[in-house]
Amino acid sequence: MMSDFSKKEAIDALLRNRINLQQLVTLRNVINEVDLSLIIRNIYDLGDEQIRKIAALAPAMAKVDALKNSRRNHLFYSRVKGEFRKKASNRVIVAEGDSWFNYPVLLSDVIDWITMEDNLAVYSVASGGDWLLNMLNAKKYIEQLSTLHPDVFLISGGGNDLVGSNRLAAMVNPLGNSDEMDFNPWARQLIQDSQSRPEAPALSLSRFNNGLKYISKDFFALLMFFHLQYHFIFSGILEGGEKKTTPSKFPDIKIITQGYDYVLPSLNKAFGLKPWRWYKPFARLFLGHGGWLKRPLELRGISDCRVQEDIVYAMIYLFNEMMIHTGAIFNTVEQDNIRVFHIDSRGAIGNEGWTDELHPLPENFKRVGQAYIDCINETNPSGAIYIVKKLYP
Amino acid sequence: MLIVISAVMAYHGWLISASGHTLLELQFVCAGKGAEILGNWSKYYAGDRVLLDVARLNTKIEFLFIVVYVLQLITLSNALMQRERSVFINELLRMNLMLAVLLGLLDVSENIIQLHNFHFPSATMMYISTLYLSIVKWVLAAWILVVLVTSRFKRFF
Repeated sequence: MMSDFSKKEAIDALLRNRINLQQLVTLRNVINEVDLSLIIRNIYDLGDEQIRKIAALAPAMAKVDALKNSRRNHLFYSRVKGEFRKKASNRVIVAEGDSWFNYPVLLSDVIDWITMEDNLAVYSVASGGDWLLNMLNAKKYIEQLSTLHPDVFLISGGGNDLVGSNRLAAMVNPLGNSDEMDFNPWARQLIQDSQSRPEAPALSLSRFNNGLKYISKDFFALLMFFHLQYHFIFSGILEGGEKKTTPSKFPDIKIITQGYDYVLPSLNKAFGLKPWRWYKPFARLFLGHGGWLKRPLELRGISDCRVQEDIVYAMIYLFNEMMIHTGAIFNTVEQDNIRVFHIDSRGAIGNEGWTDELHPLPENFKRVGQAYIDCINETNPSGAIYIVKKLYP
Repeated sequence: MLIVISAVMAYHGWLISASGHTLLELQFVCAGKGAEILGNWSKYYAGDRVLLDVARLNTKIEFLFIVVYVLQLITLSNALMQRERSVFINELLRMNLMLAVLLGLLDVSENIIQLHNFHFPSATMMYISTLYLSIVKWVLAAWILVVLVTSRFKRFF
């Protein structure tokens, strides 16, 4: 068992992006919620009160999210009663996530498309704008997992931990001379693993390397933080948490993650001549567009559009590989029994497929949703990774 | 609330219809005819009030009616949108959200013009016709309803 001193040393090394593989592997088996909170506070130099304020959703947004969840969960209850669970093709699902899972009013998000399937009953605790750390601390999903014993658990989180309140500005090095990747053997291993998978999305090395030059140690610390958090969540669900001798309460549950697509920094308001796309300029004018990606990068003096896009490209590529790697840890023991799946949307949305900086158009949310549906229903089997661009061109 | 307001407005409409003209008709007439109708209403009584006062009260109540029906259209469109698998109809329902607000704004504008007109019964020069505005309004309303009905009942087509 790792001593307290060694854990502190490992966390310090993680925050400096100087942690070695062995330290990281050992750390993820002993990390707890207090440690995770400490790490994120140090990454963003935040006090407890600031963490609580930032993680708390704006009251209006919280109300709108709650209203949408209330309607979804009303449908859930009406669907799941009676003989629903007895039919083999029916699935009970708990969904926890951010605005890809709960976008208020304007868009049909991923969970909306999943809920349209009659054989899928989805209980949602997702909130747009929610942090992954908040999801972990609030434990809403744990309560629902214990109560509902679902067949599937969907989780989408990490995007808001990275963007919002100009947080992206803390993740970049405007000088363009960063070599932090060289000091992170784990991140290098992620890329090597992706290159060894024939079905992995093509990696544009020129874009990736160009983006890496502007990514600071804090992003790598955050990436490892996400890895530790997700590992903590999956371990708790699949292995009973720290007490691995305790059988899991959810032995047959399937977990599905996602890692977003290459989002586009932009201030473009997208006015056009198509009245049915009225919501694009509306969302861009009133709902935060530009403030997540473009402005934070410009605040740090990175104004070249190509560089901005390459920075986000590298971040999203690594985020997806982190998710795949984290899930694979729980799939290695029995290869025939895949427990954790990943929806890989990289390259699927395209430059014209976005409502705003972070959210796809409804038809693209539908394509991502279809990948979830096929994964849940085990139609169109694709191993542990469902590549949206390949399966739903 | 929609039912209550509709009932009150229907009663007012019934009172006014005794004059041989209706509030609906008033939306589609030119200035001359409109001024004549209002002049008519300023002389006919329903109980202790002239019909023009009933029309004025009805128009003021309609502001509340507009808020209620616009919210209902938005709620209904949103509810159907989150169950609509066809991307095409899903987008039309989303467009309904914006069209419902536009419809409400047009209706509010029409009411404001009518309230102005009520101040000048029989005065053709002061009368502002709401003909074109009302046509656009009703076309919008019809479109919104067609999209709602199509989404709701398309499985039977």
